[in-house]
Amino acid sequence: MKPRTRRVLWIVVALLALATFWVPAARPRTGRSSLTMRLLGPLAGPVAAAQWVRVDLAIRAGRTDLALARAETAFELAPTSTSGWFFLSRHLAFDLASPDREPDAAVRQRWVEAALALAARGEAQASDPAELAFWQGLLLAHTAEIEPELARWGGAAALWERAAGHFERAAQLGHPDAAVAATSARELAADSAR
Amino acid sequence: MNARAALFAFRRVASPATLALIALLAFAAAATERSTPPALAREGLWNLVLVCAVPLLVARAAAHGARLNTRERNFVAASPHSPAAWFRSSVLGLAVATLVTLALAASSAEFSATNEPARLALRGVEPAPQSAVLDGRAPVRWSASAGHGETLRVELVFVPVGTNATVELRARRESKLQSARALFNRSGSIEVSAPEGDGELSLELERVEGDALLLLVGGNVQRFVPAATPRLASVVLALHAGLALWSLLALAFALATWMAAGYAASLAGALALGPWLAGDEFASTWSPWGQLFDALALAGKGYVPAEPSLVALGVAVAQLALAGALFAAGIRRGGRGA
Amino acid sequence: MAVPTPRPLAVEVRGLRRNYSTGFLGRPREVLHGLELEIGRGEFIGLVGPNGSGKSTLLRLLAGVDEVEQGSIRVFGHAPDSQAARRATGFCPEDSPFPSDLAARDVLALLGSLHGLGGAELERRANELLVRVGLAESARTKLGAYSRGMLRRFGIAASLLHQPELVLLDEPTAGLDAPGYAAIDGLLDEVRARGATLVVSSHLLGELHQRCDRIVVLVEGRIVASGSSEELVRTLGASARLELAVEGLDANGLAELRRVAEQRGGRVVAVQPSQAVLVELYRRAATGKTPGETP
Repeated sequence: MKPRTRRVLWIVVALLALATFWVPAARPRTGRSSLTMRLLGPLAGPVAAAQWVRVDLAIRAGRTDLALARAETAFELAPTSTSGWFFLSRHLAFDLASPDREPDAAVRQRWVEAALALAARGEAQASDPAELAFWQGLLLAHTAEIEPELARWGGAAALWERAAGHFERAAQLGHPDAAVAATSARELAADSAR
Repeated sequence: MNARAALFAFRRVASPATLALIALLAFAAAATERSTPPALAREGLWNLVLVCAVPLLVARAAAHGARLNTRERNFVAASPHSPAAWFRSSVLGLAVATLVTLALAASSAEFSATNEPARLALRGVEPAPQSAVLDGRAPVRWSASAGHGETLRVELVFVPVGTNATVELRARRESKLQSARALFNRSGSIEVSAPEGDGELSLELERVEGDALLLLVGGNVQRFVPAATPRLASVVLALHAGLALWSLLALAFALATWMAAGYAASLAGALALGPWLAGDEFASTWSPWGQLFDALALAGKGYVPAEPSLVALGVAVAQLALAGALFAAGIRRGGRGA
Repeated sequence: MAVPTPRPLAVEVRGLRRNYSTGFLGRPREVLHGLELEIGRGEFIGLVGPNGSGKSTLLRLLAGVDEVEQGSIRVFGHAPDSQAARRATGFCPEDSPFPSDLAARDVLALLGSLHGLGGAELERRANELLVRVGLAESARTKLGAYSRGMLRRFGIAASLLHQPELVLLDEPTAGLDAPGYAAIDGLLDEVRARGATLVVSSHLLGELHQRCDRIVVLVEGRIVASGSSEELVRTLGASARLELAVEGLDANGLAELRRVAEQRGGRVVAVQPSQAVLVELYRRAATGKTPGETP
C-alpha cells in the first residue's frame, strides 16, 4: 500500500471511529455501562456467546449464583437472544425444580415460578417472543403432568388453564403449533376440573 | 539488554500513528462521557482503550517477532546480541508500549471521571456459603474475619419471581451489632461496617420483606477499607492491565518465531483468555486477565479493586520466561538444517 | 581438500556437512559434503561456484547465522555463533535482512549499538560509510524505499560498520551499478589495507576476484579447485578463457595486442570498457562534460 493511501485510510478510520461517539446510543444510558455497551457494538453478540459458555460451565459446576450473575451480563449484551432466555429458564425449571433433585415442593414451585418470570422478561425483549410464550405454556403443562403436589398450584386444572393462556398468546404472536396446544390445554383443564 | 533494540521493538509495536489514533478515540470518548456516572465512565474508558489497543498491539508484537525470524533473521542471528538478549531488549520495548497505552487509558478515564465521592478499596475476600438462597424462610449464617473500620459487602443476584425484596445484613461481634438494610428490585450488593472488637465476626443475611428471590453470588464476602481517592482505581487497573498485556505481548512476540504472525496472535490470545473463558472461578485468582476483568467490573461499581495477587504476578513472570525460552528456541530452530 | 596456509588462521573448517530438508516429507538434501578449508588472517578469498553450490550456506555458517551440526568451524579460534566470533565478523548476506521500516542511519545506529559502539564515534563511522557508498543523501530514507543496488551498498556499509576482522560478503556486486561497484572496490581496498580477512562469494568471476589471494571453487557442496588466478589458469591449460585488464593503450595498441594474441594461438573474444571507464563516463555525464573531453 502506498504511504499516501495508507495515510488517507488512517484518517478515514479515525474519523469513522470518532463519529461513533456522536451517534445516539442505541439504548438509553441506564444500563450498567453505556460506553462499554456502545463500544462492543457488533462484538456484543460474540461476547455474549462467550458469556453463555461461562454460564453453562457454572451450571455444570452447580453454581447457580454464578450462572445467574453471568447470564445477567449476557442478557445485557444481547437481550434479543431467544436461545439465551430459553436456556436459563430451562435450567431453573428442569434442573433446580426437578422432583428428583428437590424434595421440597415449595422450593420446586419457587424455581418454576422463577423460570416463568424469566421467560416472561425474555418475551418482552427477545427476537422471537412467540417461542418464549409457547415455552411458558409447555412448562406449566409439564408441571401439571409431573408435579406430585398439585394442590400448591391450585390443582391441575389451574395449571392447564394458565398453560392455555400462554399458548393462546404464543398463537397471537405467530407460533405455528400454539393454537392446537391451546385447544388441547383448555380441554385438559376442563377434564381435570371434572 | 540494548536500548536501541528496545526502542526498535517499541516503534514496531506502538507506532506514533497507532498511539495517536488510540489517544484521539479515548479523549473523544472521555469528552462525551462526562455526564455518565464517574465509575461507569472510568470502566467504559478503560474498556475502550483495551478493546481498541490490545488486538492491535498483540498483532503488531506478533508481526515483529515473525519478521525477526524470517526476513530479518540474518540480521538478528549475525548480530553479537544473543537470542536471549534480543528477547530481553524487545520485551523492554513491549513494556514501554504497554506503559504508554496504559497511561492513555488512565488519563482519559480520569479526565472523564470527575466529581466523584470518596469510595472504598477492596482489601480481601472471606468465604461465604455458596449459592445461598434468600427466600424469607431462614437467615443465612456464617462467620468471617474483619477488623474494625472495615466494610463488608456481599453481592446478590435477583431472581424475578416477585417484584422486590428487602434484605438485612447483620454483623455481630461479641455483644456489638451492626446491620444494614437494602431494597432490591434488581441484582446489587449490600454493605455493613464491621463492629469493634477482635473476636470472631458472625454474619447473618436475611430477606425480611418482599417476595423476590435473591442468591448470594461468588461464595464470598468482600472486605473494604476507605480509599484515599477514587482515582486509585485507575492505578490498580493499570497494574492489572500492565501485567496482563505485557505478558500477552511477550507471548505473541515469541510464538511468532514458530508460526505465522496471525496464528501466534490468536494462540496467545486464546492462552491468555482461555482460563477466564473456561469459567473457572479459580482463574480469577491466578490468571492476570481473569483478575483484570474482575477488577474492571468492580471499578465500574464504584470501588477501588485490589492489587494483582502474588499468584497472578508469578503467572505473568512465568509467561514471560516461557516466552523467552520459546523465542530463543524459535530463532535457533530457524538456523537448523534437516 | 584441505588447503594449507602459512599465515595464522582466521577461519578453520573441518569436515563441514550441511543438510536441508526438502519437499513435503522434509527429506534431507546434503548441500555441503565434508568441507575442509583454512583461511589465513588477512587473506582475500574469492568463493566461486554455480547457483546452489553451497556458497551462501558456507558463508551463513561462517557468520554464525546457521547452526553447525556436523563438522566444525573455528573463527579466530572461537565457535562462529560465539559472541567473540560475531563481534569479529561482518556479514553481508545475499538478501537485505535489515528492517525496511527504519531509515538507513537508524539501522546503522541499531547495528552499531549491538556491536557496542555508541555516541559520536558511531555517528562518525555511520556517516563516513554512508558517504563512501554514496547513500549520504538517502540516510533518512527508509530502507523499504531503496533500490536493489542501494540496498547492496547499504548492506556492505553495514557489514563494515564495526571494523570487523573477518568480512563475509555474499554476492556483493549483484545489482550494483558502476559507481556502486567503484565505491565497494575502494572500501574493500581499505579493508585489506587494515589487514582484515575477506571472503567474497560470487557465481561469476568478476573484476573483484582479480585481487583475490585465492579463489576457492565450490561445486555441489565440494571444493573442486583452490588457488590463485594464475594457478587456476595453469590447471585448466589452453582451454582457459582469460580476462585481461589493460589500460593506457589507444586503438592501435589494442589492435597490436590482439594480433600478438592471435599469433600465439589465442582468440580475443571480447573487448569492452571496464567498470572504471563506465564510472568515468557516468561522472562526466553528471558534470555535463562530453565523453571525449578530459576533466
